[in-house]
Amino acid sequence: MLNASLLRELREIVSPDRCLDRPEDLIVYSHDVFAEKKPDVVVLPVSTEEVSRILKVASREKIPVTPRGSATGLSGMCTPERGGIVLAMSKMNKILEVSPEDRLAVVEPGVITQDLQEAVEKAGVFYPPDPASQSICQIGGNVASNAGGPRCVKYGVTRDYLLGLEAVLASGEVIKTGGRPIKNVTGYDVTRLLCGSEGTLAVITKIIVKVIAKPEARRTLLVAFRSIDDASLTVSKIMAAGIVPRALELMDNSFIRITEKNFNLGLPVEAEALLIIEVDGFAETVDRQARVAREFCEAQGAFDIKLAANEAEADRLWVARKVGSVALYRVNKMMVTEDATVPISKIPTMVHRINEIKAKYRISVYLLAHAGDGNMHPLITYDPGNKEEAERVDAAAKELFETSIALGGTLSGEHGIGLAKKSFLHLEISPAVLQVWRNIKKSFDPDGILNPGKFV
Amino acid sequence: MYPLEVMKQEAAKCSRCGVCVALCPVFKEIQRETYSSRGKTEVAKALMEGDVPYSAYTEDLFSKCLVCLACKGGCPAGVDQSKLVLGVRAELARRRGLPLSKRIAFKYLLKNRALFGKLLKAFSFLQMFTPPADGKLRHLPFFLSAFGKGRLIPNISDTPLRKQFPEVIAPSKGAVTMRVGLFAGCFIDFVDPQIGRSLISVLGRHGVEVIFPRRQTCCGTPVFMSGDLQNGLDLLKMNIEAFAPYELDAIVTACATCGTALKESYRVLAEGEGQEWKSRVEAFSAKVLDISEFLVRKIQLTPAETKTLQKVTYHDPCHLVRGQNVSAQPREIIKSLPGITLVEMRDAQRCCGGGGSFSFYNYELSKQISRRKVENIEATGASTVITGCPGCMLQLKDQLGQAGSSVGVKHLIQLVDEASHS
Repeated sequence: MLNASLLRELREIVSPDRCLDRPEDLIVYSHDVFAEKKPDVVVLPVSTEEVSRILKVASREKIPVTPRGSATGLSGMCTPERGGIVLAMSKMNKILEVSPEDRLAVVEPGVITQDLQEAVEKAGVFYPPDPASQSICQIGGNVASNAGGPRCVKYGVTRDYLLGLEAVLASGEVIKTGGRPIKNVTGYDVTRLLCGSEGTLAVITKIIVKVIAKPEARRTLLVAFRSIDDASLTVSKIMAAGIVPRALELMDNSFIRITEKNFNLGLPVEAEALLIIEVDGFAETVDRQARVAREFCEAQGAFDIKLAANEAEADRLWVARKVGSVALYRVNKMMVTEDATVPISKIPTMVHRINEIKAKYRISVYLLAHAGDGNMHPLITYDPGNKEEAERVDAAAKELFETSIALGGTLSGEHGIGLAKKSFLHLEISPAVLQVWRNIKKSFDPDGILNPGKFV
Repeated sequence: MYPLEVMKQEAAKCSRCGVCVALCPVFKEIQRETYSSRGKTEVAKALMEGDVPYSAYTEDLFSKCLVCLACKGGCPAGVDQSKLVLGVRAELARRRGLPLSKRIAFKYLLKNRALFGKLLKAFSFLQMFTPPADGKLRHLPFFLSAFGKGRLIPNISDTPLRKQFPEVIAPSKGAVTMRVGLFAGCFIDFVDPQIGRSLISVLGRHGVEVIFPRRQTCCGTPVFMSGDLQNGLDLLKMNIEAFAPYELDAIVTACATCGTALKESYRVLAEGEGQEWKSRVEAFSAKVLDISEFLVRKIQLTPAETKTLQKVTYHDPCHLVRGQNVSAQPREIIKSLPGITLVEMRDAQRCCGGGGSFSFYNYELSKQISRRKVENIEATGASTVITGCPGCMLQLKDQLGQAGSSVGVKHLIQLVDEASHS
C-alpha cells in the first residue's frame, strides 16, 4: 500500500482519473497472459513530462515501477512482481509523424501496432514486424520485448526497425538515443540495448521506427505433407536455397485439426503437416518465387499445394493462424506457448525432438512454428489442477529448453524471459554475462526500481 | 436467478489474450482497461469469487457496455462476455435495485401496451414545444436531459402500427402462399411504424399472409439487459403466449435487437426455467427470422421496372451480424435491387454507438463512439445508409444530423419496398 500523501502527489502529477487504486483496477492491471501480481496503484501518463515526474517520485521513495502496454505478453514481463506502480502507457497513443521521405515514423509507445502499420501503409511504406497480437499490442511493448512475428523470417524483428528512442531513466531524467539517420554509429547503441530490455532499464516514451518500401504483391501457398519430417526438411532446403519467403509457417496435424474445427477454412485435416509459404515483392516476381517454392515442396513429397485465390482468402488463413493458438484454450484449462528457437539448419532435428519429448512425457502438444527462422511454438495444453500432469509438463519444458540450447539455439525467440523462463536462464547465459547485465542495469537504474524481480 | 455456473464457465474460458480489447468500442474511447471487455471479465471473476464487493463502481463499469458483442465475435477462446455482463447486471439489480424510472417502466409500462402507447403519445405532445431540427427530427429539450442533451429524436408516430392494421393481414396480391407472424417491437410499433408498413407491404405483394398478434409486447431486451431478469422472463412468456394460437411458417422481425432477443437471449433467459418453458422457447426461437433472412430464403423479389440510380452503404447492426450471424443476406438483397449500388464502408461491422438505453445513460461516450461511424459513412459518398435495426437508425439519424451530414438513413425493408415491384 502506498501512503495517502504519496497517492496525493501522484494525483497531482497526473489527474485523479488517471491514477487508479480501486481494487477492480488493481485486479485488471495485474496480469498478462502468463502471470499476475497486483500493483498498489495504476498510473496512466499522457506525456513524457508526466512519466519523468512519476519516476522522480518513485526513485525518491524507492517504489517499484513496471511499465505496461496491452499486456498481451506470454511470459510475465509486465506484471509488477514487487507491487508499486504500474505505468500503463495506453493513453500515450499518438502517431506523431510518418515520413516516407526519411523512411521513418515517429510514434508514442501506446500506439497499437496495427494502427501504425495501417498509417504507414497509407503513406505507401511498410512496417514489417507483425506479432500475432498486432491488433491490440502496443508498439512500446513490442520494443520492450523485441517482438517478432511470421514476417520476421524475411524482414527481421522489432529491433531491426528502430532508429531512435526517447526514454526516461529511473531517476526521471529523459534521454534520447539514436535519431533520424538510417546509419548511425556514434557510440554505444543504446537504442538496441533498450529494445528487449523488458522494462528493466528505462521507460520508453517515444519511438522512431524505420519503414521500408511496401511490397507490391504477395502469393500465399498452403502445402500439405504426409510426414512432418518432409515438411521441416522442405523448410530448411528452401532457406538454404537462398529464396526468402516473407513467411514460412509450419503446423502439425493436431494444430491443423483444431484450427479447422474452430475456423472452417477447408484445411486438409489428413495432412501430417502443413506449410504456409508466403512470398512477396514486385508483381512480376511473386509468381516465379511461388513456382520455385512449389518445386521444392513437390520434390520433398508434398501431396497437396494450394495457392490462395485472393487477398481475402490469404488474410483469412492468417487470422486463423494468428488466433488459432488462443483457441486452444477451448481444449483444456491451461495452455503454455514455448518459443525456443534453433539455427535454421537444425529445424528438422528440433521438430523431431519435440515429438520425442511429447511422447516421452505423454503431454498434449500442438506444434506451430515460424519454421523459416527456426522459431518453434509447441503449444502445451494441460490442467494445472492435475499435479502429476503439471509436473510432466514442467519436465518436458525443461528438456525442450535443454535441447534447443544443445542445438545452438535459444530459450526464447520472441516471447521474452519475463518470469516464465527466468529459472532456465543459466542454461544459456554464463555468470559472467549475467554480471555484465547487472552492471548495465545499475547504470540505468541504480536503485533497481524498474520492473524488479525479473530476469536481471 | 441467473445461473452462476453459466457465468463461471464463460469466465474460465478466458485466456486474457486481449484480442477483444482491440474490438471493444468503449475501451477505444476511454483507454482504461477496467472498462474494456477483458477488464470486465476479470472484474466479473473477482465479483463471483467475492474478492470485490458489488458497488457503485461496479455499476458504472457494467453500465458502460454496449452489448455490441464485438468481444464475443472475435474471441478465439469462444467466451460470450455478454453472459457475464448480463449476470453482473442482474446481481447488481438484485442487490442494489434499479432506478425508480426503470422499475416502473419494466414492471408496468412494457407489459401494458395501451398504457405504453398513451404515455409515448403524451411524450410526443411535449415534443411540440421543442424546435424542429430538420422536419423529421426534433431537439430534445433540456428538461428531458435523462435522454441526453441536445439529442435529435424522432417524432413519435400519431398512430402506432397496431392501430393501422388488423390482427390478420391478407396479402394484397395473389393467394396465400405462406403465413408469417410479425414481431414488431416497440420502436417499429410506436415510433416509426413506416418500417412496419413497408414490411407488411413487401410481404403482402408476395402472397404472404401476415399475422400481427395483438398481445405481443416488448421483446424484453432493455429489461433483462438492465439486469431485471424476472420482468424480462415475464415479457418472454407474454410474447410466446401471444404467438401460440397461430400456425406459422415463420416469425419475422425487422428489428435486429428484437431478433437477437427472440432467437438467442430467450434461450439464455430460460436457462433457469423448467423443461416445459425451455422447450417452448426452443420451438419459438427456431421459427424467428430476420426479415432479410426471410426474403433471401423464401421470397423471389421482383425488381421494379423504373429504377432510380442511387449509391447506398450498409451498416451491420451488432445484433444482426454478431447476434444472429446475418450479414450476407442484406447485402445480397441490396445488390439485387435495380439502380442501387452498394459501396462498403470501412468497419461496417463496428457498433454505431447506440446500444439501446446505453446511449441515453452514456450520451457523451455514445457520441464519441458514433463519430468514427459517421466518418466512415461519409467517406463512402453514399446518399443513404441502409441498416436493419431501428435502434441503429435512431443513433445514425441523430449523429449524422448533428454532424450536418446529408446522408439519409433507411431500413433495408424500406429500400426494398421502394425499389421492388409493387
